[in-house]
Amino acid sequence: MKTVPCINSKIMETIFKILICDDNEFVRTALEVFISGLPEVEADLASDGKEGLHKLMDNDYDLVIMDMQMPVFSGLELIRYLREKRHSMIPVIVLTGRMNEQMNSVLKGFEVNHVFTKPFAPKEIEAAIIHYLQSHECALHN
Amino acid sequence: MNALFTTDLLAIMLKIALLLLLASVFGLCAILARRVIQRLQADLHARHKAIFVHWIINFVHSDLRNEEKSKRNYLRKLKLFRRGAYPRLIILEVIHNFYMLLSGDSRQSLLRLYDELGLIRQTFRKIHSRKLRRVMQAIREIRDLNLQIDSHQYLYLLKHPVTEIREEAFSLLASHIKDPVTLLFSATPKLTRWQKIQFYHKIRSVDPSAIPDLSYGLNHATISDKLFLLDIIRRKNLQIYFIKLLNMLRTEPWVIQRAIVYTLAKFGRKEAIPALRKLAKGLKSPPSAHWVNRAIGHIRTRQGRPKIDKLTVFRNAS
Repeated sequence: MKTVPCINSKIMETIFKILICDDNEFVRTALEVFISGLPEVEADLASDGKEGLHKLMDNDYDLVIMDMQMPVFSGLELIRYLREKRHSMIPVIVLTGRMNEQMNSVLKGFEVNHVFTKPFAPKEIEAAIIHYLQSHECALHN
Repeated sequence: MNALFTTDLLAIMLKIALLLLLASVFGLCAILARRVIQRLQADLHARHKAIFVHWIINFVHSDLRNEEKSKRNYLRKLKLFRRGAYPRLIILEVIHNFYMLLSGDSRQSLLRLYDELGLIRQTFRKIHSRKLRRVMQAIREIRDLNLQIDSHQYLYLLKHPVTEIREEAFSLLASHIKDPVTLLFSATPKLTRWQKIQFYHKIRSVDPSAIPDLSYGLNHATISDKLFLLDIIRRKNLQIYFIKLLNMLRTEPWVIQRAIVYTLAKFGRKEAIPALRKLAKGLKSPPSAHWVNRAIGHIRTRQGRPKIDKLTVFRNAS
């Protein structure tokens, strides 16, 4: 993944907040540990859609990583809330066990930034996180 | 006298009632205590699991980042806790879950951890266990973690007296055995006919790129086995055996020759025509020669097809 050229020292000083919303504790822990290796990035965890929704209501995040199949509220409902009710364009990375054409077109419609199918390589997720955090920060500054 | 008897009876009944009450109270206490113990065990299990999840993923993280000191630290912690049977099961469960979830370098890292903790050795030891549950578990671990199994151990599984284990062992074929065809034909004691048929069906169902090398079988197998192998080559269109088949055309008996001719016709390569002509000339039986000539005709038609297609495209364009 290419890095966005708009990197300045200001970005490095900011603390980025990421919400990880997944019902699988292994995914949450793996992402939390891998994100902890990134400088100036803080991860917040939610174990189901409802908790994720509450956290999205109360906080401002720079990136959301979520699963599609979750108890109470699905990932799709969270994305709908973000895009339609809050009109927020924060980057969203989706993790899913299976992907089909229909789901792909729905996610494209909601302008989901990246979709990873499980099993995923942590390095790729790390690269995607850096990429979208930088591009989001550039978009806010410009 | 009667009154005395009645009071004695009442006293006995009261004692029995008291005993029953005591027994039920004890019973209730035992059930309650059991539930509390179960709850505590579950809590301990969850706490252990949470710790191991963190340690294992931290090990992978430091391994991927080449942070030797941190990696050694987590490995030491895991080794210390691995000794007991209970934590070992949780470690296995956690590693397995992460293995299913992560891909790329992290998988290799997990396998390294699995090996460092001595779990690979243990998995292979379980194959020879008397308990069927443990053998099945070993096979599943080998399959899920994609471990390469030694041919002798694999053969032991294929010859296992229990059908379920034999069937489960077949699921390891083609992906977990380094050279399954060589194993199949050089193995002593030999496999039964039924097992071989199952093997062929398994090979036939995998992706062409995953099919193992069949050369050993083509050289050393019996006629019926060779026919099976040729069937696989024909169905999967494995053109890498083209030269090998041309060479075999000279030496093999007519039954095999006929299967080879059919396979070469399916390949549709022009280079096969001289060898097929030579074979047709050498055949004394006219029906057999006719059969070879039909194969030559089929190859020619397949060769001619692109030219005709080109002509039609050209005509449509004009």
